[in-house]
Amino acid sequence: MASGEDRISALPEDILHQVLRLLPAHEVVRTCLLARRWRGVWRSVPTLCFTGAKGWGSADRFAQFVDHLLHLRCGGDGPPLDSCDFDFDHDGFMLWPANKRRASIWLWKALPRVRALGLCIVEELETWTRLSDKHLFSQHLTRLELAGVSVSDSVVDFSGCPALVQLSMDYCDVFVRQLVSPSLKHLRVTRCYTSRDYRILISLPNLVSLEFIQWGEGRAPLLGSLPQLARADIFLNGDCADQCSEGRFDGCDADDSDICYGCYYYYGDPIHGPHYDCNNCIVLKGLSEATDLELSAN
Amino acid sequence: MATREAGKKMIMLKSPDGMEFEVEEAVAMESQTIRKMIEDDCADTAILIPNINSKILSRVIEYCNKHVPTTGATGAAASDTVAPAALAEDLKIWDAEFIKVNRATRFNLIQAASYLNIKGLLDLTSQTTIDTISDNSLEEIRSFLSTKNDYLPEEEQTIRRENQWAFQ
Repeated sequence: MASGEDRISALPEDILHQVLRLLPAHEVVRTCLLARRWRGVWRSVPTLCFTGAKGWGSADRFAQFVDHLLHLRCGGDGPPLDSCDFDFDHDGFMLWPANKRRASIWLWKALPRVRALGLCIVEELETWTRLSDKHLFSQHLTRLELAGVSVSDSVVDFSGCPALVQLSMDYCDVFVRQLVSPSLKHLRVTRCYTSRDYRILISLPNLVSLEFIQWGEGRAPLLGSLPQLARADIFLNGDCADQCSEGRFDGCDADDSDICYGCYYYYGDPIHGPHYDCNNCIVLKGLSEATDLELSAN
Repeated sequence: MATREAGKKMIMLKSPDGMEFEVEEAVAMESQTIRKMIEDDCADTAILIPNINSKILSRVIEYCNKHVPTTGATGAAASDTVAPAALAEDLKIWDAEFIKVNRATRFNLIQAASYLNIKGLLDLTSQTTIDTISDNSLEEIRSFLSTKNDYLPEEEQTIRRENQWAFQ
């Protein structure tokens, strides 16, 4: 049926966009050579997906391509793009400091012009890329997905992104003391490394769902006020620093000079004083507003 | 067609070529377009689906039937239910069989999935098309898409030059 018929070119442009949104950005641009119908289609595909330097001959060629396309698509003040994804999985591109700086510039260029931003950099542990210290500002951003990125400010403040509802961090270094966002509804922190010395204060007025799956060691998160929370999945693993190393459910005796590291900090840090997360219900208290809660002990 | 399990609300979908399909409301609501019509009370007893012939519509319904959450949960809770790995694997195999169709049918399915706003079906049909584009030469892509090159040779050269930055 219709063997010689050019059906795909006959599709309306918005449906062509639906198909092309799954294609890496360089392949999208190259469709301009297929036929006249395709000449300018790439200019209005509402998504950009950069898949790394593999196949580009040199990292510079790839970087120039990204510079150019971002300039064309994110440079003006037209409607925001649906999404922009940087997926640099195991291609070595981000091992070079110069490329890290470039990637940082790309992020700041794309951030104010997209509804969803994804950054996936999975390289060797030591080379985790640090999200810049600058505050994030975007009127359009609704979703931010980070993988393999280091987020290491003391306070990560998304107040400049009033539309942000979804934040996902997977396999990230999350050395922060507080996450701030007046709008965030869904937070996922999975397989991340967190600090052994301080907790992440999660106190978000609009958070509806929280997924916190601990992987490496680190403190349990300190859940503050979460008045809208409906669903939470929390998994604290055996290396959680907030665990009595004596295996006692209620912790070893606080008067005992042999108190273990876990309990020492859990029941309040005598050095930093009582203002420092002294709270004998670090996790459960914050979950008390949840209507659908599943707790499991491992 | 008339006897159905009690409590399951049925809805009639009509294709422009006059065929009628009675489907469970939950199945029809896999389409965000139809869901909106139902939620806005725009759906009476039958909904006319323009531009989608009965052959394609029946395939779309087949897809929705397979993909409607089977947990029995209602409303918002259903979308939160994570399918067990085995179920997801089963769906993947089913999808792979489902999409073994000729190009014309696939493009019709893309169009239908886009109009009816069924994300899973749109992703499946688009991905299958993308797989034929990715990593292939221009000639191969043209052939897969049945697209005729209508550029004059010098025109093609100009466009290639203009967009040299995008070519490796």
